[in-house]
Amino acid sequence: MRVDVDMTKCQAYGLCAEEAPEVFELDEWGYPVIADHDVPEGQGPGVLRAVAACPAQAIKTTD
Amino acid sequence: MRAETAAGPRGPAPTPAGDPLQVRVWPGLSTCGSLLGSGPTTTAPATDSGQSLDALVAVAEAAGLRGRGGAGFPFAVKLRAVAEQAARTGLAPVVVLNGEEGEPASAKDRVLMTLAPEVALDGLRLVGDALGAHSRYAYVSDATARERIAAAARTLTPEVQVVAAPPGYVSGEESAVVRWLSGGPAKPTHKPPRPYEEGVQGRPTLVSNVETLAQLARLVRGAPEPTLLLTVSTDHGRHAVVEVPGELTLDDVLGWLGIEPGEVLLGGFFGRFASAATRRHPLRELAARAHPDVLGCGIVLVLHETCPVTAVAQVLRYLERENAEQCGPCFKGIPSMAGVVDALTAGTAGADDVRKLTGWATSLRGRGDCGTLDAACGLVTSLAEQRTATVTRHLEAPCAWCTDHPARPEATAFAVPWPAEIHPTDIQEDR
Repeated sequence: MRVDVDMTKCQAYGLCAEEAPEVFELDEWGYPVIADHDVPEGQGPGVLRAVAACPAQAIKTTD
Repeated sequence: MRAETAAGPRGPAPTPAGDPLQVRVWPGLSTCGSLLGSGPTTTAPATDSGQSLDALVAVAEAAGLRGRGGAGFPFAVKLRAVAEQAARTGLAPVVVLNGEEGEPASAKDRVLMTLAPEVALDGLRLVGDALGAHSRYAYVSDATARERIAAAARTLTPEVQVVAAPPGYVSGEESAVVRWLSGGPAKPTHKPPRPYEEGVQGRPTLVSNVETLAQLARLVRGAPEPTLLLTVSTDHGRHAVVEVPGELTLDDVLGWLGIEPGEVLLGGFFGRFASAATRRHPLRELAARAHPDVLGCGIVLVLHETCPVTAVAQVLRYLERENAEQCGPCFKGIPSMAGVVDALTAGTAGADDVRKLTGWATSLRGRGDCGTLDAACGLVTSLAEQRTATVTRHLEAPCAWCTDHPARPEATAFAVPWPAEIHPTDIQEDR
């Protein structure tokens, strides 16, 4: 699974980093930085929770 | 030539009066076919339609034609990608002549549309016919250029819809063009999908810069290789749009124009400070991205007096004002970087601030959905890495230039005077 954030939609709510801190790290302004767009083993469920939790619906996953 | 001087805001350079915009064609080019001059590739009748897609791709590939809007992407690859997506989806594509020259330091596209609108439209016709286009647009914000394009389109290519683009730094970015033509604001979108995958009204879309399309038409008419259009400006107020062959170097061009060598910011707001080696490199290689310093959309800013730190501060403030206000890393990051560069001009920045600045310029790269943030990061990196000694000197005390010429938030750096009243008969065709 790959994950991507649409930065034109992201509003820095930061919920993604709460749901999947290993995947989403927040920069000093609260916007997510994704170190590896290929979701590491075991992180899938957290990423899917982040997708559901994002109020801006800015996170997308692809197979 | 005559040209009127726009009374717009100006950059930090001492150019209160400014000179009119010159248009010059390299000696001899007009005899083998120039875009701006009166040579055969401009005056020859439009090519017959019926160029197959494969033939067009082959012409673009053989000549190494690259996008001239700034990104320098191989045109043949772009053309083929649109065709393949059209075949996959069964959707006839949309083709767009992109005449939105958002960067104030560039005028070559407006000059081209003013002097040779029929050649640019012929390029659009060639790709539209080869792709079996569903619809065709010319997207132009500048009123003078748009009128010229519209007048030529009425007789040559009446199927082209000429639309008034909203002016702005980001509105010429290809996904912004697609969004506007689909009924939205002229602001970039997240990629993927790119326009070739999903463009205007969901159709595969080819968005191509005016000069790129004109160069394609010129190649189809038999020219051996693309020429290059450059916008050359100095901080002493000289502005010229020139057409030159690709084998020239930057030093050749400046020497021909009688411009003393100085600090050169190559590629404009998306550019870098050029090294002496870069200036002796053939321009076609800089256009082909075969060198770290790239030509971009052909902007050459020559700074005789302007301190590079002030120049960067001025451009960052412009990008801060002109960004699309969509991506947080861009609308937060650019003002933060601008703050440090401003502090450098005031002599109040410390070494820690500069470390923070260069850290941002690295970590923020690629984190916006268009090139604006990357332009700011690239410029800051170029200043820090290529003009390190200058930056270090500003840690101790502001330089005399910075003290006398503080960056002004409202000013537009290095804007070319426009509209310019250009008449083909006034073009200097050096022989």
